[in-house]
Amino acid sequence: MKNKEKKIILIAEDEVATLTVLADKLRDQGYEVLKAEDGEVALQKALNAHPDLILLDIVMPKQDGIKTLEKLRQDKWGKDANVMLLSNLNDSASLAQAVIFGVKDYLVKSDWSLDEVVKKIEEKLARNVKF
Amino acid sequence: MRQNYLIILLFITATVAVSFFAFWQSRSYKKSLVKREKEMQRKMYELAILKELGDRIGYSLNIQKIVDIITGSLQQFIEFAVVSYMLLQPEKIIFKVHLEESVSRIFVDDIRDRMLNSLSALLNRDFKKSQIEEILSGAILIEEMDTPVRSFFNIPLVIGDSVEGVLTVSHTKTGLYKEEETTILYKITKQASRAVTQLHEVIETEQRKLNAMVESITEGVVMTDKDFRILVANPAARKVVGIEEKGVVNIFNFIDNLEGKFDILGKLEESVKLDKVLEINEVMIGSHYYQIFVSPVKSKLSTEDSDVVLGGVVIFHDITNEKQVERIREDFTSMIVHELRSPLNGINKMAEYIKSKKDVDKQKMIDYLDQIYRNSSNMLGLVNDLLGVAKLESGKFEIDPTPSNLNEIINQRAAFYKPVADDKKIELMINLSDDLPEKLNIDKARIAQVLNNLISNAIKFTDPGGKITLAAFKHLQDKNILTEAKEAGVEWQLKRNDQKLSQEQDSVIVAVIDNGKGVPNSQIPNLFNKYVQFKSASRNKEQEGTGLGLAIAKGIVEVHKGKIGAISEEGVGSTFYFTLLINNNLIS
Repeated sequence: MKNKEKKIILIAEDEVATLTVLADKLRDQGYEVLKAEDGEVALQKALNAHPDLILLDIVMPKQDGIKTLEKLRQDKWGKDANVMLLSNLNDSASLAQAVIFGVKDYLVKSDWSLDEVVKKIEEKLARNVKF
Repeated sequence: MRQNYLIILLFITATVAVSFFAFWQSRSYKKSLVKREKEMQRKMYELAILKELGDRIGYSLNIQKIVDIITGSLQQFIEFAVVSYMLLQPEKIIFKVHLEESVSRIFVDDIRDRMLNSLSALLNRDFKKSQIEEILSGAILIEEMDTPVRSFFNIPLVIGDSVEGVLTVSHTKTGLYKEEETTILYKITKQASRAVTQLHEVIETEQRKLNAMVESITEGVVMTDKDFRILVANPAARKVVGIEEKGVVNIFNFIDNLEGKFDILGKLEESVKLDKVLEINEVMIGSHYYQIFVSPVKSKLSTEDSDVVLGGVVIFHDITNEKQVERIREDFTSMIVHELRSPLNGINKMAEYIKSKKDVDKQKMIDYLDQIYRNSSNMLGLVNDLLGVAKLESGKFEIDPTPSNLNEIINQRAAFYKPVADDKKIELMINLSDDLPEKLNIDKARIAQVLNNLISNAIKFTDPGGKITLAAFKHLQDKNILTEAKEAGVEWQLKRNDQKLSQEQDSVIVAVIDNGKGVPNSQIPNLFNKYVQFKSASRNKEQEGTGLGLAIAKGIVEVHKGKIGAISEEGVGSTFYFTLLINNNLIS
């Protein structure tokens, strides 16, 4: 599909190494990647660029992932935005909260390999094709 | 001759008179002797009876039982056809009649009415015949007998100051119950009454003690009788369900206010039925957590009797604090895990990425290695800090005190941090008093570590253009610390004299003073708390560090027998200070 427009993915993650490598990997796969190291920047970039997918870390400075999600959902575009949570195993309370905001997909960070995360993102984007 | 007669006559008369007198005297002696002997006998008898009664009554507090014992022994020294007593109970009057001889119903009714009248008179209260519960024992009633009550004697049964009933002896014969009999009856009842009264007093004192204890106990205690009516609900128990203001409480107050979180009635029934102590853990009532124990209350009425269930008791043990501490610990642990896993995950993914690529751009490789190095350094720092805290907490933190020059240490630290401060455009100054001791018995490296922590914090929280002063001055015990600082030219945020600090033994006060953003007053007590600091550090990535530095600094200063503290004013700046005793007697 060479005429396919480049999909935009926003990664919100405060752990710089993880953010960097995830961005590099997704760029290698042909996505356009935006990076944010805290919740406030993430929200701002999301509302500006309307990415096709937001990978959202939960524990972040300034504004955590759940708060960011809550604010995102108040936006006209953001209420339907595609979000996938990046979580740790002990974030079950946050995951439960995320479901309230319509987010059911999440990646447990220490579980996946880079290839697996790419696969999961592709599946997610394929399911959410808008016509 | 006539004279002789006269003499003889006189003699005879005298003899007769003497004999007669002697006779009379001996008779009267005998009479009084018999009387005394009889009296002695009666007294002995009386004593024997009293002793027997005393033994049999023992330490019983059951008035009816005591009166039964008295009435059962009475026939030994008083003659009666009927002995009876009336005892006041909360809802009735016990009327117990023992017939030594058969009498008619009319006789018994007559006694009953007389006794009731005297009770009314004693208590100034009216009683209804319907309240009377009659118990008959002994000989049978014979209706045909029409001998009325001819002798009757009534004495009140008094315990303490209150009339509990009346005891009566009666007979169909006339003229009985003179002083002698009535006196002994009085004595007996008085003795029994005194014994019971004393026991009551002992018990009341004990009860007051027990009540005071139950009232003041921090555990909530609710005790019920076997019909689950509340006998005791101490203030702590009332507080659990928020009914402190209520005077009399019942089980329904508890049921309603527990709002189904704890089935108090069900658990009491279960506990009593199964004769088992129940333990219910972590019940949340209001904003508190409780561990609840439910237990049957049993008692042996006498040694032969088996246990009798008197009711149940519920104890509310507040475990909110324990839960909180537990939660803080869990949070702390999970945060450490997060703080270690997060950078480790980054390292792991970077390695994975490099491994999967055939060729990696050189610059990218350098960036990655740089990031891996930074992450692993952070993790190492955190692990070291955690170990430090753990050592301090377990008392295994060892220092090596040697006579050291504090000025030198401070100057070295200042030189070390100068480039960093310059970089951030912060002025770093030193203000050391002239009268500082040449040497202090301290661990040079550890005190340097404390200074590192305080200085790096100050740089972190001071904006460009700000100023940081490293100061040290001498303090003498009980001298006003504020004055001492002023004389040393130290400008810190301390505005009023600090009593506690002024009371410190002779020491050197080391202070790191900045004019940065300051710390809110409410947060100052938490600055040295590893849990709180670690939490806020982990949520705030802008400021590097684990947040454990101050906890470690505190530990190091305390091992040196010193004090550490902070004074701050928001928008004005902060002073972090610690004291080092001039004579700390530390041995390396």
